Amino acid sequence: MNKLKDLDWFSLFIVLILNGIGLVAIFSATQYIGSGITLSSPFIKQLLTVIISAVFFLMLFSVRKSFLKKFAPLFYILGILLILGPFFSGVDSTNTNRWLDLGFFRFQPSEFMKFFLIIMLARFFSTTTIHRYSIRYSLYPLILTLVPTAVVFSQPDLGTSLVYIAIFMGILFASGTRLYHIFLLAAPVITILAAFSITSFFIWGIVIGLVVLFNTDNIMKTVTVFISNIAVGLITPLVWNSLKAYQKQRILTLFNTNLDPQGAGYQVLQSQIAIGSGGLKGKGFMNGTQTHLRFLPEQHTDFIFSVIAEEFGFILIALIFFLFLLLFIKWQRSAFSVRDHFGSLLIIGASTALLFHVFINVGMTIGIMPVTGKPLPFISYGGSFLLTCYGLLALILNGSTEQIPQKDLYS
Amino acid sequence: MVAQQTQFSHFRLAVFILVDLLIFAVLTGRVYTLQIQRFSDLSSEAVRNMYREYEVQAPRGIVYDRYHRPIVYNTINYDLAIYPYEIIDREDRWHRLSQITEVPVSTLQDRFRSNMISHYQPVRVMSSIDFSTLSRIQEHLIDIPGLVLYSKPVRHVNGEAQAAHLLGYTNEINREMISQLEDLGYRSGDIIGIKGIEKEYEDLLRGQKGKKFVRVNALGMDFGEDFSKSREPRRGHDLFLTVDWELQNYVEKLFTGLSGCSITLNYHSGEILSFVSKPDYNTEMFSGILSAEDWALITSDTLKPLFNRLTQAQYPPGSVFKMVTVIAGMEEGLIDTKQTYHCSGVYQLGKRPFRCWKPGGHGDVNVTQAIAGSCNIYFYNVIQKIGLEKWYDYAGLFGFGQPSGLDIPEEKPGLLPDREFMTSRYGRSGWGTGNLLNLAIGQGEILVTPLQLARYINLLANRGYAPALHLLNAYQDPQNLAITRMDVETESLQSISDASWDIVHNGMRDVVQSKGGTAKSVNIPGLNIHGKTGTAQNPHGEDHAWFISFSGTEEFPIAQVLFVEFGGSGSGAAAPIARKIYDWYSRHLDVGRLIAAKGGAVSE
Repeated sequence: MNKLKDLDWFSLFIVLILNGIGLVAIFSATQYIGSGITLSSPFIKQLLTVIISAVFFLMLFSVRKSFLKKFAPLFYILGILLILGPFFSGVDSTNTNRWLDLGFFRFQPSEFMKFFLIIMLARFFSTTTIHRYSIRYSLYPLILTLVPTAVVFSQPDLGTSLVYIAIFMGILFASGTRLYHIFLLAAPVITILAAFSITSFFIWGIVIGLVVLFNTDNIMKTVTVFISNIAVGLITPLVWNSLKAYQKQRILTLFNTNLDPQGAGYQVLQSQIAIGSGGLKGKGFMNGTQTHLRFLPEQHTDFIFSVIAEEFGFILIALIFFLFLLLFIKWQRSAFSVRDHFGSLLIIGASTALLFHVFINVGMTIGIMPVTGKPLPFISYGGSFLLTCYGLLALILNGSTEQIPQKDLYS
Repeated sequence: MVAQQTQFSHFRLAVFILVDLLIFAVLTGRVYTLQIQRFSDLSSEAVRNMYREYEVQAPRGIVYDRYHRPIVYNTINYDLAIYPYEIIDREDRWHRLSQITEVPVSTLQDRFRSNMISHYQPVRVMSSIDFSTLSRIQEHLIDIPGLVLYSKPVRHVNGEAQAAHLLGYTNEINREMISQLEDLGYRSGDIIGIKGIEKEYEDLLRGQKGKKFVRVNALGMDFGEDFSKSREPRRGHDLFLTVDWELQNYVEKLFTGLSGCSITLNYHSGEILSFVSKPDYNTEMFSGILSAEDWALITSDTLKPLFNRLTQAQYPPGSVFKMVTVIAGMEEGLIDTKQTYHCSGVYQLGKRPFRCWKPGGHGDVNVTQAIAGSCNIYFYNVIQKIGLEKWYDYAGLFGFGQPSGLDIPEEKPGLLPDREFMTSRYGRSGWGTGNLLNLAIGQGEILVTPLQLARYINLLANRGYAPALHLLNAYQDPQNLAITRMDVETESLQSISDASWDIVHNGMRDVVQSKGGTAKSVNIPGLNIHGKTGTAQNPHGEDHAWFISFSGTEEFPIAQVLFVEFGGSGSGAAAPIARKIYDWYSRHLDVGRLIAAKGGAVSE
């Protein structure tokens, strides 16, 4: 427990402020006419989850990094088994089967897979002997990432699978992979998207050609990469056209829920009205009409940001953004200054996951990102997710212990 | 411990921080746009969300008769509705509801299912509930939660008279009308006047809809009304008609079993005192949804109860038109009052015989006798001097061939043939003097409506200088009680000389008051009745009967037009009814009141 003296109290303090704001907003969002406060009301449940989260945080913070590193493959395999679990014994919740019931607690294994993935990737990059200029340096961790991503995507949970990709990209980038390799990994995805328009496909083809040409010495490799991308692009429309109408629709709504105007489009519209009508100072605690007349959907979970914006206005939103920004920059700086490579990659993975969550959640409520149903870290209601957030925080703060003294940094 | 060196470059750290800054810049920018730049428009969106605006129908104005007796007023019909979330899956409540309403559960549930919109919006399951059911429902209203009684104003016609063709009816506006009248604020579900006075004075009667603001949430749940924003509906203007509701009732009774129509008017004021077209229908039957059986019944009736004979029936006027021929001849100097023509019962035009109605003939007749005895032969002679053009001009002065302009919708113009018309119908040489002879006695191509004859008799009685006929005396604003009297226009045929009027009046007087007159039965002592009978030839059956008349007494300025379908002759069928009306009205009319009410509503 002497590790506590290394704890970054400042970060913890800021996180608690954010959590506090979240509790206030949850309280407001769930006070309907005629409902009192009981043990089952979301505010109380969230408060209890904070206590459980504190225990979890302390556990994960106190555990030795070397322990995590050592058992990373085991955790990883356990995680894969867990996310496969709902396929066999899952309970149905909002027509996706990503919940696992432990009796007292309904639990989303895909949340915990985030830790295991971060630990596993951190272990890979901090121990591998493969040279970072080798393509395998990117390829192996890509496979490690794609396995859980594919499982979660098929559940279907686009949001979480994107979080896994974000974690991977963050760690990969920090680990000094060649930018060209990152480009190669991203190229096929962009090719598929570009293939839906002849113009964009043509331009993208030229871009691939140029990038590949300037980055490889081997003409065969260049041609292979180029041709395989073009082939993927040419096949895409054929595959797409062979899909049945409902399959196309399902894929389209996965990426753009605005295609369902009575559903997600309406939600986002109401969310924007809530945010906009909050103005500079907000309508005041418990005074949000969009919130209290329930025009705002999923208000204490996915759209908690809109509740805060409506009731407390731009001033508090700006403060929240500032606090998040402060945390992310502080954590990333510490990642680049920590002595232990494994620890610094834990920081990068966990902070990237949190940053990504903030971006897609807030982006969704303000209408610049599709509705993926991802909550806002430390603020949204939800036991499993809050636990994850504190777990990620524990990884970050655990990882940032044992700082390199300043004088060593530039030596 | 460090596996590889230099992989953590400052460049990569800078990229991370740059991404952070970029993400938060985008988010802040967008939130700034929403909360600061679009604050006002999104705020009003939020306010609009909070309130659901309902229109509250305004009660229509009341229609009174000339003596402020209510003719048409509003009563309430009740509909029963129920909140779905209170009754869905509650078989016990359905059964209780069925017991109370005495409507089978299956019927109630069918209506419920076909009308339901959302769980929080009441669904109508019964409409226009009768009184005994209504009192049972009110008694048991608390047995079943979620029951709502909706009241709906309906128009009720007071008393026994129906006056369907005068008053018309109201109904829910249809889609076609909405598309035309949307700018005037009509919306689906609004009530609008369809026929008669209800249609003519729709603008005055409809009133101004109110607004009700109810706080609601996204699920449509109601959080009560916000009274500070509500606007009360304003009742429509009350109308004071010219008709005498008692007289209307009396005349309608006279037409029991008959088809035809009648107008009684005060020719000193131009007020129409009764406006009867029979058979007619119960206007309340038409307010709301007419059942298929009722519709079939009413449309299959060969007597055509939906047909407003006063404004739409177009028949040859017959002999009542002879005064036009006389005036044309007099004014053009083509009639010498002393000159007689011999009537032997038949007039030979070349080889074609033209007959008088009197088989033995009238003997030698002058112009006055020709009117009194309705001698056709006289007019056959005279019209040949006058010619079609002059005849047409004088007939036009009396308004034939165009709607009379009475304040009632859907009036037909009749038909006044001129040379052009005759040529277009028969060809240049297909018509000739024979047609002219027929027109002289009001037969042949000419068609008039009873309403046009009312205008005609009004002009005749007034010797050409007459207040225009009208049905509305005044209207009253229910808010400030201000009464607006209608201006009465004057119709003037000043060019026609006194000599002509004298001849016409003498002739019409003799129709009733001389031995040889065709309507002696209407001669009521003291009333100085003038009149003219007529017969509209009907190729499909018994001829239709006309009788137009007026009282020449200053204190009893009453005129009438009577039309009896299949009546045979004017003297046989129409004149006796006219007599009854004069008789009854001279006994029941408080002349002082009639005069006092002239030109406007009585303030009481």
